Amino acid sequence: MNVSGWILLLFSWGFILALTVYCFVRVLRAKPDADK
Amino acid sequence: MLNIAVIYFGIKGGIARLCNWAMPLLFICGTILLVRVLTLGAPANPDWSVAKGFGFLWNPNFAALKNAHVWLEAAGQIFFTLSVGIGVILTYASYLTKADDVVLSGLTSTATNELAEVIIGGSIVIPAAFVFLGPLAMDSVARSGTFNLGFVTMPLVLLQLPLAALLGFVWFLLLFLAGITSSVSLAQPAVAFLEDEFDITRKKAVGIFAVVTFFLCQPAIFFLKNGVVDELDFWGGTFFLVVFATIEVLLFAWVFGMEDAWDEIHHGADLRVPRIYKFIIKYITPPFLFAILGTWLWQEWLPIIRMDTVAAADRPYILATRAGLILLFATLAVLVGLAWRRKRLAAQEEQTP
Repeated sequence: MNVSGWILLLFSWGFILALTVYCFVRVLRAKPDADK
Repeated sequence: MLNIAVIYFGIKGGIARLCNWAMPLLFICGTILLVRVLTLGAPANPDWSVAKGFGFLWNPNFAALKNAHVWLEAAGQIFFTLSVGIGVILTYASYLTKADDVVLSGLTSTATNELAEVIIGGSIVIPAAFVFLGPLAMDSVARSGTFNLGFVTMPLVLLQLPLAALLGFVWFLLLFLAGITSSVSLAQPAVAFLEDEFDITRKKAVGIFAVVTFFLCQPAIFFLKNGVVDELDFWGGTFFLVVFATIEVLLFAWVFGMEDAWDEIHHGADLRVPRIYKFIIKYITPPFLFAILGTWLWQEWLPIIRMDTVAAADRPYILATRAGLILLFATLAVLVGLAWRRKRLAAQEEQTP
């Protein structure tokens, strides 16, 4: 894999993982409020 | 049969219950296969490593961007996986309450979907096939179609590994879970349409759906080798998704109105969508999708319509598939027309003293 390939892969994986973790944290934090 | 049973039990009792255990299981299966592929090394040839397999997917090829087919496939892929343009997400959205947070739900399902398809899905089949079949075979593997990739190439690749039977089981379980969770969602709009618009009971609506889909599925099974599934996949899973998504975005931004839509989106939402998306949805997305469709039509419609790339023996099957799709679309249009008429008559009756 060339350098551009690595940059594309690491950027995409990093962005997707960070967004997924962020969303799940928000969902878990929002849930107790919704239950009140 | 399983599809029908799940649909019969409804959204909460069927689809939600199925997804609650099927989705985590799908992620577990995907992660097992991902770890196995990442630790493959280069068992067949020192030059055919996993890293080079990833290169086949990730090394940018800017020349491909000139091909409208690439853009159409990419747009179709993202619309299909997010259930946009097929009525699925609209049907699910109709079950939400005003207070439900559509921004966070939408962003979470999009992120999780990308995790499943880009990180997990994109790291299994192509890199594994590259490791065992090498770079020369990859072009034909990638072009062999969705069905071949999952049901022919991948089992052949898994056979080369220790614990092939176990990994094969995990792979087919993953395909089964991905398939059934999608197909119940795809069935729900049709069943809900029959129930809501024609006042049919759920039992009867599911029965009608079961009989119709049973007959409609047969060509895909018996004429698979003639390219019927790939033809259905192209029109139903790519081209018309982009067409319908374009219509949806026009209705959303220009008919429903962006200001009303913006209020509706943020009702009960914890997160705010950046305001720039108001401009993007209204002024960028529709021309962008029109440009994709227009360029594709300009570049490819004639060879596709003339079936230039289809073998002569398969042409009658492809033609029959297209005729079947037109007939299906016409039937659905008639049913929608009838439903509108029923609604109009019901509204008139209500107004009459």
